[in-house]
Amino acid sequence: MKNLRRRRWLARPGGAAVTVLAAGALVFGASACGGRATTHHKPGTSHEQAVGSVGRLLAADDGSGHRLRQVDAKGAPQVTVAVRRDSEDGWNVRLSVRNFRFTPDSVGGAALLGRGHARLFLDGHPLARVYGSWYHLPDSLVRSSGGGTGLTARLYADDHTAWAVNSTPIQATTSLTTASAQPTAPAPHRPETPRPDTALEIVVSHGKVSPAPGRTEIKKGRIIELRVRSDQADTLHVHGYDKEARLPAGKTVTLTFTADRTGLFEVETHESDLLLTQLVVR
Amino acid sequence: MSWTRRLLVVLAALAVALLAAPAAQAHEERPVTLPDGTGSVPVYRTGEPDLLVCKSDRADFERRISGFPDGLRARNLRLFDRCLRSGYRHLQQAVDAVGRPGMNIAILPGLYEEEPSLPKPAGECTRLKAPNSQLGYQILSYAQQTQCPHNQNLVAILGKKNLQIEGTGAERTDVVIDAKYQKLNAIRADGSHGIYFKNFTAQRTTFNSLYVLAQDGFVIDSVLTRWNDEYGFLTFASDHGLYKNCESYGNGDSGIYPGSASDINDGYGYEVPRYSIEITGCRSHHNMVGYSGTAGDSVYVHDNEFDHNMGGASMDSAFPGHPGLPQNHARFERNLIHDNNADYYPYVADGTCAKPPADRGYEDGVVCPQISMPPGSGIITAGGNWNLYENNWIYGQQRAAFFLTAVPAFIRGESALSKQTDTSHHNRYAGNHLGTDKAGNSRPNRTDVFWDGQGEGNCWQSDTGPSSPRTLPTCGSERGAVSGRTDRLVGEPVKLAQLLVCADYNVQARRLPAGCDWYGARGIERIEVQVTLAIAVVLALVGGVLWWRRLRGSGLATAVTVLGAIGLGLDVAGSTTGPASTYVPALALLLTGVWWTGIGLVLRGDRPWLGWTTVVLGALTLLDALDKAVFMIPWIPLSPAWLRGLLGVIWVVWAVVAAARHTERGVPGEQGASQEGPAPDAGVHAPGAPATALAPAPEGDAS
Repeated sequence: MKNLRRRRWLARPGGAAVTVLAAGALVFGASACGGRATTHHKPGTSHEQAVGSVGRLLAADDGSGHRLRQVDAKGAPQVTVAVRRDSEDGWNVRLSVRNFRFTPDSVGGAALLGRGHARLFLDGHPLARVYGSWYHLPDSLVRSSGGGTGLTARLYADDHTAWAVNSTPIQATTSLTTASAQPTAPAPHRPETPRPDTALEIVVSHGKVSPAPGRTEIKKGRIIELRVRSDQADTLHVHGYDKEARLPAGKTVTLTFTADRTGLFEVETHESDLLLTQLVVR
Repeated sequence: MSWTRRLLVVLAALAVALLAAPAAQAHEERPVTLPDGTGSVPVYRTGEPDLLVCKSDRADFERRISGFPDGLRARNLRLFDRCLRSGYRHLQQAVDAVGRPGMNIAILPGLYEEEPSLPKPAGECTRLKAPNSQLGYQILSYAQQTQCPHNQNLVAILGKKNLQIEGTGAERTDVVIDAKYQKLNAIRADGSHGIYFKNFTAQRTTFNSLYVLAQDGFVIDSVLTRWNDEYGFLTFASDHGLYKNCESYGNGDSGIYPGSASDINDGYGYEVPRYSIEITGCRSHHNMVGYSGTAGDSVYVHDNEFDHNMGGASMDSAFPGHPGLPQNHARFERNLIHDNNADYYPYVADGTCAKPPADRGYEDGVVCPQISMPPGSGIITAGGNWNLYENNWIYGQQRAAFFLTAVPAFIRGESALSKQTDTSHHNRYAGNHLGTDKAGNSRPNRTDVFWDGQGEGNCWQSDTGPSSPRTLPTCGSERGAVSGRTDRLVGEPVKLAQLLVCADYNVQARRLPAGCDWYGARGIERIEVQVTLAIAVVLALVGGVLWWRRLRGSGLATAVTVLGAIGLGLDVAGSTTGPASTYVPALALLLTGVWWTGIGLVLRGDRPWLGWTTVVLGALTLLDALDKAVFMIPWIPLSPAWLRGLLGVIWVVWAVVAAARHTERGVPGEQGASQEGPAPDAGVHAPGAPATALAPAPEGDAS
């Protein structure tokens, strides 16, 4: 499109009429040199052509048949990988990259510096090609890939060569076991929450508390987890420790704290004023 | 920036532009003339290829074809074996080996970086004597292109007649020719009449992926181009062309550009013997514009999809040196043009587009719009004649489905007075599905038409929704049948002012005019609102003082002054984005016109010259309202708005003088009122009012 621009055009007003038209003309100003065919409008962006080759293709490959493409360490792509246990299934993998862009649309094209995709490997076993910074790794894939624990993320160019510095592929590795001791166990708790020493499960239904209120003895310094479900919206309160939690109707609410003071402490609901249990901390 | 300052800037720019015709060059090509039209559209040839191109890595090749259907895989394996024996590793080598017209080249699945063509020119090729373009590269003659084919082109096809180049993959993305932003053009076909391109991808240049220059006969069939500074497909000064099933995206200008298509229908009406270029089955998306053609003459564009660009399609007569100007006889039929509302100007504002092309991130969706244009438009025609836009689906456009303006001839370097108004005429917009997708769902456009009001014989279908102006000439059922006989030399002043401000765009300077809603200005930031508000404030002040000093004795004058105030308020409201295409602006004109007419009648007794001038101003304003809302007044060369504007300036000065003067002519209120024959109410009322209100005046006069 060559329209809608100004600042360069031939203005030879032949009379008043043309001068009047000039206002309209400004809108579509263009270069004027007559005669010569100009296939384009005035220069817009710079059209600076890239130069040089992108790294050096090495004879060595990455171990899976993709040759290494060596670049200088300065300005080279970088990657780090972190994993977090998913609350339902498997792992959430996050790749953090520098000097690198994920370019899924141009995969299969030529290698251009600082772009491409990543591949994930589990103890050397290929898992998946990754086109963005987040990837969900299901347990089923971990199992079918041999159940290893060493997760490696390696960066590749659009032409599937592996980016490398000093003949070493650009990659990062983490362990699937570091974030939690039991990766295969169902994980109802967030991994960073410490395991409770005492867990109490209490249900409030139609104004009745079950199990019936009693005393629970706890050693000082231990972690207590209260799991309370009420059929009516209420507020849970632990006296002495002054711990409170909202109890939405029908939802199990977990309150975890460390019993760091000795004494007898009542646990009750505020709205319905029910005693749920007594904690004896020694 | 205040509106006065802005106006000064604009006027200064105008003066500079008019006085200094800069010798600046655009991106140039060597002088070319249109082909003589004796060629024909080439026909696809099946049969075994004469020359083969492949890469030598068998493992890689087998991976690439592993998902192909059996027959195609077997064929590719067969061709691969033959290619390893007698084929070429680079497309350019095969092209160079073409020894006679009518040969077929097959490119096997693979990535072609054309390494031998990539290095910067060396030796003689660095010392060619040729003019420099403003961009720094040289404008080479055909002989120089032959001498140094890779100064600007990754693959140069020069003087090879009836050549066919076909990818043998299952998809066009199986064969990729990648210029890696290291050349202006990925593939240039020049002096190669009858070329046939099929089934491959060309990408990542600093100008065009596929460039066809001055050729009689070419086909672009199932080719994908993407990520270019300017164009995906550029076919210039060519005839007997066919684009089919192509795709293009990520281009800073347009995906498809049939500029200066052979001007074979100049002088014809709507019925023409043939079209020079046909474009069908293509999709062009995520570009600045999907389709564009300066002097895109006699192009038949049908059954394509142009979507998610800033604008769907555009044709114009705004650039010098294009053979075949002014643009004429494009025909758009059954195209899907929708959701062209992308806004890529922020990439200019934030500096992304100031980086080298390779670093801008085109592959991630960055587009660097090369010029200023109104985002959200369906089909833009900036200077063009005899274009047919029929039976298209145009919907979901957040600005306008159709955008039509004139472009005077001196813009394209033609100064003959007789040519200055040779666009835009006889453009027919009929039978289109506006605001409705193909399934019949409602997907309204914000406005269906934006027109500057210039030109003769332009018409629109009768079922257009919101439009600016609100009333449009209607197409009859026959081509050429148009309601009214409007033929204006110049467009509406406010629209020209807006376009003027909006055009002050510069990518390199990262200048995005602040007052223009193309770049995100909203509400009071918009130049239209600022100008209207300023005019309304001036008129309200002058009208108010005039009423207070001279007219408040008259009930009629008071009543119409109130109407005038409402009218000015509506005028400001009507300049905002929403109501601009409704009846609000016309209603504002109506009320303002009534005001002027009314006070003019009251004034004329005391000050007949001013009074009658005011009446004329009122009449012109009423005429303007009629022109905008009911029907466009035929025959007149300028819209009433121009005369009204000029007279308005005179009136403001005159009215200020009249109001400021000490009264020297007795009791104006009484005289004015006494002549108000047809308004007995005012007659009764008036003598009482001035007696109190204007009491000091006669006294002062007497003293």
